[in-house]
Amino acid sequence: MSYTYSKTERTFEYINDGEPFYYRWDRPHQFKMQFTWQAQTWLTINMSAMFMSGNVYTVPTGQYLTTDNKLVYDFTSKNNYRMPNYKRFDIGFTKEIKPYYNRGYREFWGLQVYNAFGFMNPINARWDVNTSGKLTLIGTTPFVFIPSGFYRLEF
Amino acid sequence: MKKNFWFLGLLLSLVFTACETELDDSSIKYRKRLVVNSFVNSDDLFSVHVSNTIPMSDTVYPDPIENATVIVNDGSQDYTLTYNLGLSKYLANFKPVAGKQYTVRVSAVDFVSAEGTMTLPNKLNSPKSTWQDQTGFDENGFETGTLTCYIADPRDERNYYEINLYRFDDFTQEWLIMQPNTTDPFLNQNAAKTDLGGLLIDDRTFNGGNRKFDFITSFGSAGNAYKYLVEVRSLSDEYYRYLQSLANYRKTSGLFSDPTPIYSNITNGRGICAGASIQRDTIQ
Repeated sequence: MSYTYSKTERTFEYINDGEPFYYRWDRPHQFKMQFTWQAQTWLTINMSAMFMSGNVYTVPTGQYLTTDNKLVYDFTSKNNYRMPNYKRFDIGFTKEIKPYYNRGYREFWGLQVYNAFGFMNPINARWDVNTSGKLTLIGTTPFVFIPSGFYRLEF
Repeated sequence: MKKNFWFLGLLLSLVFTACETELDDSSIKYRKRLVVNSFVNSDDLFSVHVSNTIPMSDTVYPDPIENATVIVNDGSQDYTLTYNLGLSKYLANFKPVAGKQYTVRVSAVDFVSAEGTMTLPNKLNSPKSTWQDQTGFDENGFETGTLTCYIADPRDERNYYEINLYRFDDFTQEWLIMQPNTTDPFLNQNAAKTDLGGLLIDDRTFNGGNRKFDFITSFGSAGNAYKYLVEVRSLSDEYYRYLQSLANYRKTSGLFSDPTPIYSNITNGRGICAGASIQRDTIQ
């Protein structure tokens, strides 16, 4: 189990009017749990859960006209929006193949599911009109959950 | 077996499906600010366009603010600009002078006063642009020409340029911008494209030297008269940054990219206060 508090800022002369701004991947609070259970000598089950502050993203707050009379977005500052809290739960197992054979090498296979509960963790935000015609902020979550498998040879 | 394929297909489609959710936007606050756009050159009267930022939900363009107080200071004297209804701009009765620094101050009721400063770059003294016919062939076998423009770059300072190429259209009787077609590796690797269709460059590889740029003109691109206009703008640092950020703003798209805010040098507001000295060569 771990908890981390961190703060990451950037300052550039020509970005954000020279003012400091949160780094894109700034997450002040990070709480993580890791659980590994050797159910049998040939079977290991692992789970991990994390709950973190959302990272930051630049969201337009208004619009204005450019010199060539086109509407563009106005951003009050860089990385001005904190995304929703990040939640994830991963689960998987590792099984040894023929564990009781002394063959000079060992084989394993396993399955993992990343974000098994399918929590929505949007990576960006944009304005769009929803089905009721209201302008709302929409977040996009790619790859909601990712199953994976592996084979490992140890010698 | 067929069942397994269906299951695998369903699983893969779930994995690669991006989901959209509505986010809480209560922390996003719209700030009503002045928008000051003043792009000047030494050939025209000093002008300032004033409007304001609008909320995201607005779809109508903001009206110009007609009752603002616009003051321009040239380092020695304040000039109050008057609103020109026809141009929807505040106009001064003088033309900006190259090399001079100007400060624009705008105040209006219900707004925090905004201010911007710029220096008009010096005029270029480059050789006249030329055009030569029958210098090559395109992929269809048609003859192409070469439009050559020159930049005599001032020494020991960072300079920024915008190159715009126009052709005269016989049918519409007006100048139309041409998309620059060049084999120059410097331009192809370093130049950013403006919204208008021009090229943005800086002088870091030819500081203080005379640089020649060749552009390919396609067969019949300038009608029967073969009339071209080459416009080289020497830009102030602010205007170069503004155009660069505008080009990056337009390019930014896609799920994993970060939005690019547009550069502004207006304190307590948005917009740009910048200048350019323009050299125009007409070839026919």
